[in-house]
Amino acid sequence: MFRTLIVSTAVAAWVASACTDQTQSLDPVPDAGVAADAGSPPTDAGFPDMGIVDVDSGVPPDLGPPDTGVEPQRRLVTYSFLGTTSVNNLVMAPFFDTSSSVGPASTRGTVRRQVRFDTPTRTPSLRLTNGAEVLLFVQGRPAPLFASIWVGQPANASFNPVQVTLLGLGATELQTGERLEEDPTSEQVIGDLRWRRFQGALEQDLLGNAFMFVQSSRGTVHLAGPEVTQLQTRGKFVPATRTLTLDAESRDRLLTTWKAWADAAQRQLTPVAPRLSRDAPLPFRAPPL
Amino acid sequence: AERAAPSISMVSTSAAVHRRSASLRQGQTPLWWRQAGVQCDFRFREPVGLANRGGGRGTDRVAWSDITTYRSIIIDGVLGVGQWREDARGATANLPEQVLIDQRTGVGGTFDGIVALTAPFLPANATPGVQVFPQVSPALTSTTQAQFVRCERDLGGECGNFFQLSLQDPNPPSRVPNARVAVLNGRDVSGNDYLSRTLRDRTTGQTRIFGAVPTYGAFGPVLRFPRILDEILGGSMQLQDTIFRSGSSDPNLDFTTGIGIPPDEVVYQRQSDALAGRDTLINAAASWLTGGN
Repeated sequence: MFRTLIVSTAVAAWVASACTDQTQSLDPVPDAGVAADAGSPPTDAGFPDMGIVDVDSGVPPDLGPPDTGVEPQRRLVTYSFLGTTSVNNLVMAPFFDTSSSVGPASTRGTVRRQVRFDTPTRTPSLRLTNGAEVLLFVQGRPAPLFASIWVGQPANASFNPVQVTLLGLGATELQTGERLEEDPTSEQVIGDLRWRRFQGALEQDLLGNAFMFVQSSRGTVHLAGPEVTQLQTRGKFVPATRTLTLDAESRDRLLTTWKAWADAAQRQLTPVAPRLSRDAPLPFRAPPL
Repeated sequence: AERAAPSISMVSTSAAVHRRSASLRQGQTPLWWRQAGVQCDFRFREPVGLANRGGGRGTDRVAWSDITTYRSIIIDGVLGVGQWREDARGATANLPEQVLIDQRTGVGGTFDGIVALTAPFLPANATPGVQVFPQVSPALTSTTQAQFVRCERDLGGECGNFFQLSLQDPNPPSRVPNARVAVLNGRDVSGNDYLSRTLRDRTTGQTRIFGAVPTYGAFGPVLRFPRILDEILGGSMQLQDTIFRSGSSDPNLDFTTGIGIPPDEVVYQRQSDALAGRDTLINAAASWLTGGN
C-alpha cells in the first residue's frame, strides 16, 4: 500500500507539472491588460524582507496583446472513461491491457499497446507489426451477437488485408465463428492513420469464453475499440451470418494456442500476471488466466 | 522447535477483517508475505517438529512428522510443483491410519497440489473429478454441460475455458482409504477450498474439519481484470465455478459459488490454552484422531 501511495503521488506530481507547461485552454481568457507593477515595494506590516526573495527583479510584466494564432502544443479534449465504446461490451480487455485477456496467437511480428486517444473510439490501441496475430478474450452470450473493431493503417499507403474473426464454442457446433467485414462507409483519417471499421454478427450462442482473432498480413496495423455486444433484436444489423470454416492451418494454430492457455488455466489456481510495462512487447507464452 | 505465532489478537479479530485483508493479497506473488517479513498466521503452535521440514520455504513448504500414532502434516498453500511436490510425496509416504493436515494459512495453489494430498486417501477404484465452468448465460443445463464435455473430448483443447480433471492419482506414495483425516482450517482460499472439499467428500474413511469459520468458497481459477488506463492493477476474481463429481456418470449440476466448506467442529483458540502453551485446535484434532468421537 505504501509503495502504491508513493507511486500515485509521484504520478500525480508528474501530471500536475506536465499540465502547467505550455498548456493552452480551448477557451483562452484574453489578457485583460493588468497594469504594470509600478515598482513600489509593498507596504510591509513590520516583517522585514530578509533578502531571500527578490520581490520584483525587474522582469517586465506581460503587457503584450493576447495570444493569437499560436498553435498550442497541447489541447484539452473531452474524454469519456470508455471512449465511445459500449458499456455492455463483452470484450474482456477492450483497452488491450497486456496483463490480462489479450495475447499473441503466433510468434510472428510484434504486439505493443499504445495509450493514445486519437483513435475513432478515443481508447488505447494495439499496434501489430510484421504479420502479428492476436487473440482477444470475449465473454460468450446467447446470440445474436454483434462484433466490431477499428483497424488503422498509415494513411499514405494502401490498406493491407486484415482478417478479423469472432469465434468460439457454439451451442450446437464445436467451432463456430463469423468473419468481420470491412464497412466501406466507415473510413476516417485521424492524424497519419486511416481507420476502417470491421463488423459482423453471429447468430449462434457462444458458450463460455470466446475470442476475437485478428490476423494482420504485413506492415503496421493498429487496432482500437473492439466491441462485442448482445443484440436485442435479431436481424437488426444487416450483415448476413453464416458458419465459418477455418482453413486447416488457422485451425491448428488456434487450437495450439488455446490448448496452451487452457493448460495454464488448469494448472494455475492462483497465478501471477506477467509484469509488463505499458509498451512492453507481449510475452510469447500463454498468459495465466 | 515449535514457534508461538502472535495469533491471539488475530483470532479475536472478526472473520470479515481476515477475509478482506486476505483478498487484497491474492494478486500478490505466492511468497509476498514471506518476502515482506510477515510471519503471523492463524496457528498458535505448529503441529510439526523438526523431523521432516522438507526443502520448501514460505508458502511452498510441506513439513511432516509422526506423533504417537498419527502423521502430522503442515502446509500453507497447495503449490503442487517443484519442491512442494517432492515434499508432499514424502509427507504422504507410508501413511498411518490417522493423519492430521494443518492448512490454517491456506493461500491456494494448483490442482496438482490438491490431487497430491487427496489421492492417498481415496480407494484405488474411486474416480472423483471436477468440472470447471466459465460463466455461462443462461444457466447451465445438462445439454450445455454435454456440449462442453464433447468439445474437450473431440478438440482436446480450449473449449470456452471449460476443463475437467480427475482427482485420482494412480500411483500415490501410499494409499490409506480408510484413514481418519483431521483437517485444521483457518483462512483457506482457492486450492485450499478445494482440498477441504475433496477430503470431505471421501466416501471411505472419515474426515473431520476443525476450525472457526468456513473456507472462502473460491472454486475456480483466478481471472485477472484488465487495468483501466494506467491503473497499477486491474484486480482479479474467481469467476469460474466447479461441479464436484463422484464419477463420470454423476449427474450433479450444482455449483457452490461463494459457499465455503464449514468446519465439522467449530473450535477457537482458547486464551486459557494459550496461557498454558496449548494449541486448542491441535488438541481437539489429536483427541479425535486417537479415539475420540
